[in-house]
Amino acid sequence: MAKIEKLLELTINGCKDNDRQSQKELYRNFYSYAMSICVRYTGSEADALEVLNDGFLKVFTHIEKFDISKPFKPWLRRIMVNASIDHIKKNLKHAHMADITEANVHQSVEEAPDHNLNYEEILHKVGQLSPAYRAVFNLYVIDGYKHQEIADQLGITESTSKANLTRAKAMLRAMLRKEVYQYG
Amino acid sequence: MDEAMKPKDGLDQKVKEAADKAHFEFNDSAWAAMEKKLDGVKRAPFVWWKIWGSAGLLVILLLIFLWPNNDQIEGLKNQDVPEKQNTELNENTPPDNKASNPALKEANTESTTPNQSNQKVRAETKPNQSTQENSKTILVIQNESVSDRLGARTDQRQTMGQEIEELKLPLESALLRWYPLADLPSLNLPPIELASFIPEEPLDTTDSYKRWVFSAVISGDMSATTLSGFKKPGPLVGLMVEYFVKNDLSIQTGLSYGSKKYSALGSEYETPYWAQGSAYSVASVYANCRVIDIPLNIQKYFDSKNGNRFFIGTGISSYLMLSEDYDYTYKYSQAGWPDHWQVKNQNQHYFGILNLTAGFERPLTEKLGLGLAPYLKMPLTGIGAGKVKLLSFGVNASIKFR
Repeated sequence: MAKIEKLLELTINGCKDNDRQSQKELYRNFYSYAMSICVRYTGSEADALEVLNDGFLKVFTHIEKFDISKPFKPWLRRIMVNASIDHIKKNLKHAHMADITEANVHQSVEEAPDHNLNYEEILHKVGQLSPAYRAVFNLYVIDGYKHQEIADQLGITESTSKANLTRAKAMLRAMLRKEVYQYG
Repeated sequence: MDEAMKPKDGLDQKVKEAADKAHFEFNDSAWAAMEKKLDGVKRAPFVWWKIWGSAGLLVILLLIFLWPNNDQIEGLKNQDVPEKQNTELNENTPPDNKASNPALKEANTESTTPNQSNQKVRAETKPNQSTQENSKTILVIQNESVSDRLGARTDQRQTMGQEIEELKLPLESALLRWYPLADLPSLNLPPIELASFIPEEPLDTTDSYKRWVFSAVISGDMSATTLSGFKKPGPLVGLMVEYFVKNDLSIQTGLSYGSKKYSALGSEYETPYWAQGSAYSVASVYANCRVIDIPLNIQKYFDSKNGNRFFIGTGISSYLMLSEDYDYTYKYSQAGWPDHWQVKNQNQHYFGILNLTAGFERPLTEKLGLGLAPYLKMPLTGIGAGKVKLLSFGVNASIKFR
């Protein structure tokens, strides 16, 4: 474990020196982790890759600011989440936040979801949620934000955040059970 | 549906697990795209518009300050007058007059050096001409400034006062007058030595206005990101050098060291580049930045009584951020988010600040003076790691050595 940390430290120091090989090493090592964050926020691997590279660009250009005595993963995660939120906010300007709240979701939520899907497929299902649902679901369920924080970040009210979460969960359950949904 | 009523079907746990354990194969084409981005950052062009913008601003200011004033424009016009005058002379003067009047002849043949208009007047009233000729000489008061000078000196020259008053022509038409000899009464004036009316003190010359002024400056610098965000002043000390290109116009540069203390809201920070914590959750930031300020200003002076002078100035400053200390207050804190962050020598803002100032200076001795100048510094770019719009103001107290 200590060896891995030492290697990571060396890689990060190489990135601080703007060494391209070190940058590639860091990118390769954390590609999967970063992609798993971006996919569930963006909904498609193509968009996820764009956000991932934007996030890594911030990592490389601001790596000097990273405190080597602290764990790297949370720092990377924050950057990726922030990059994803920026991406969502940019897209939400086009796809109105309010329209998503009108999705007509059946309240057949008590049925257990299909647990036969692999992890990547589950994340893709999360990504298939409408942008506003997806954002709230990810921030609340996976990244541990509170509704007030989500409301601040997305520029919505706290009650909208709560409502979107409920609907997102209902939709996701239905998707995982391969139910057919009608959008209002 | 309320979260408390959510079904306990393990959905949250399932998705969290997926988020933690999902694996995406590394993709070489993804890295190729990343490299392209990195190369783009490396080749990021220098922000030329800032240089050209600053240069343009300086040129505009120079034009404003150096544009000739009314007196100078009149003087320039008068340089062209003699030719016109000669033409009119030739057209309006009867041939016999031209022939018989040596003064006119003299005036016609007088070289028109591009000098002060009073020289031209002097040329037309040469003392070696006879009194009779002088009486018929066309006395031309060619411009307002000469006329003003004549008026100003009248009180001091008792013996000549009355005659000078008589010589004054209406200023509205004083640019150039030609009175036909026949219409003019004989003034019977003695030769006028207009040279005696020229002020003894020298006009601006290269020697008299090329001066260097060195000054030590001290101030309390108030900084904020909004007009309500000023907290307490940070000390500022500096050394300045000023070069007077004209008696009333200078270019100033130097170096000052100061501490900028301000508080800002988290929302005022440019979040995409803010990697420490979640900027969305930052309630406020208290910042203390040590900065070297390198200004390039232009200043216009206005004379007042007792050698005192007022001035206004503007220009561009560059900030070299030596250190930036930030203390964060979060709306919702999470484990691992820093309370404090320090950045050293990472941000330089060349020509990134607009300076505006106005002030007053008072001479103490021939070589020493005191100055007092309120200033305002406005950002043309985001300042510091958070790219905030940092305003500063204060009052520079300076001691000047000429």
